[in-house]
Amino acid sequence: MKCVECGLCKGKCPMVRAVLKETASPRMKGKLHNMERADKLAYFCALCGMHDKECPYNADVPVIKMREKLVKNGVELSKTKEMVENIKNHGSAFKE
Amino acid sequence: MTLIESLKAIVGEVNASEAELDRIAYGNAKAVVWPSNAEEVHKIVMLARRAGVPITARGAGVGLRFANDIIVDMSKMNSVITVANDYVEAEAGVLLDDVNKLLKGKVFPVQPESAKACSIGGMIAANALGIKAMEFGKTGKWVEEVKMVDGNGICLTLKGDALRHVVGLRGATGIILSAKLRLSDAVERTAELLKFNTLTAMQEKLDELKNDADVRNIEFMDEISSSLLGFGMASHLIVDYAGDKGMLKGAEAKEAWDARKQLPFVLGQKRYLNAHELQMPLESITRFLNLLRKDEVPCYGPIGLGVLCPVFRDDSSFASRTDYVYRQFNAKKRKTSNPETEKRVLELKAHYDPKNILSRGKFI
Repeated sequence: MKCVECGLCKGKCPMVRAVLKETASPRMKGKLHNMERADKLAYFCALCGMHDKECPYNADVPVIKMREKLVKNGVELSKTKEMVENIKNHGSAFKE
Repeated sequence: MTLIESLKAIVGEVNASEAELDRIAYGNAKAVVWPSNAEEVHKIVMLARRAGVPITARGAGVGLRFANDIIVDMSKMNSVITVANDYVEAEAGVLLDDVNKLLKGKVFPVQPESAKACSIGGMIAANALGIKAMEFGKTGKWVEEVKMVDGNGICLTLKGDALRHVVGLRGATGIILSAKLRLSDAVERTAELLKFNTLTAMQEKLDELKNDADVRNIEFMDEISSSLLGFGMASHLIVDYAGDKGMLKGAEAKEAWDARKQLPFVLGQKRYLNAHELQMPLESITRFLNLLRKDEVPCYGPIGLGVLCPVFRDDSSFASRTDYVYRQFNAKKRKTSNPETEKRVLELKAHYDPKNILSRGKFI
């Protein structure tokens, strides 16, 4: 089921709790996914799974797939590129 | 200085935006501003007044989501000011769920289905209805005091009768800053889950329950709703009692109500997403429910208050003729706006927001 944009996922989302802006919400990611729009905002997620757990409709907001699509289109954050290189070269995302 | 520059001058660079993604997130807003205190709200209102630009306050956005204005998101005003024995005072952006966690032996009795995410300010602005509405009424019944900035930029404290000038008016008279809410004792009710094979039998029982002084809440679930919740293909009533009269006690009673709380979402998963809230004359209920059953439209609601919520799929043929059907049953759709409310808001606007900059278009 696609996101119905009810916003009930927001209360427990750690990203929303941290920045207190709707733009950071799983609902916004659901909205972008519904619009079939890929955006770097997909990286603004802790991947904690809370939005899946909290969604009363069991809607699908596939943040990892959204990121996958971005990477395929060459859209990546410099920090994630750096992390990939670190893993390749040092076996750790943080180079340590 | 442009409007967005002026807003940034008030709240700081990162707390005002007209970036495309922010505007999309807030339902095609012109711009979004995130104030942190009363003084910033006052300055935003004064700026909007001078510029003649409409602004709309927003809580958690679980009710109101779309406004083509400047959105004043109250999420950053999220401090719980006082938790006392019989009241709690909190800023508008505090989530009800966060208030609930702070209370011991007391509850804020109005618990909407969106309780996990809704904000105190939003609940007051919408005069939200909770799950046990027959006993506890709407949010407004539990509001002791509201601090707000009105459309003139004046910071006011409303109490007593004056609360009618803000509760349920969706921000049309002022932006709610904080509120003092009365609490109730956390009383455990016993309950009964009653199953009916015919609607006539349900109506007869309903008439009996309405005259029972121990009954506190009566909630209806039709066959489709009951079946989706695993109660079987029959209409059900959940009845709350004061005292020991109900067969379901403690966890069992809670389980029945928890299932009911999930109902709108369980229906949503089956694409029943468009709920109408109807005030029904009691004598019309059986005939109305029979009609819904023929069209396979699920229905539930606090029937003890005469309120029913049929829920439609977007492609439902019934949904396109509801106005006609509701007239046949003298059912009143509980709308945000109706001629009486509009008249009242117009009078209040003349006093609190003569330039009509707040929540423009919600009523007038």
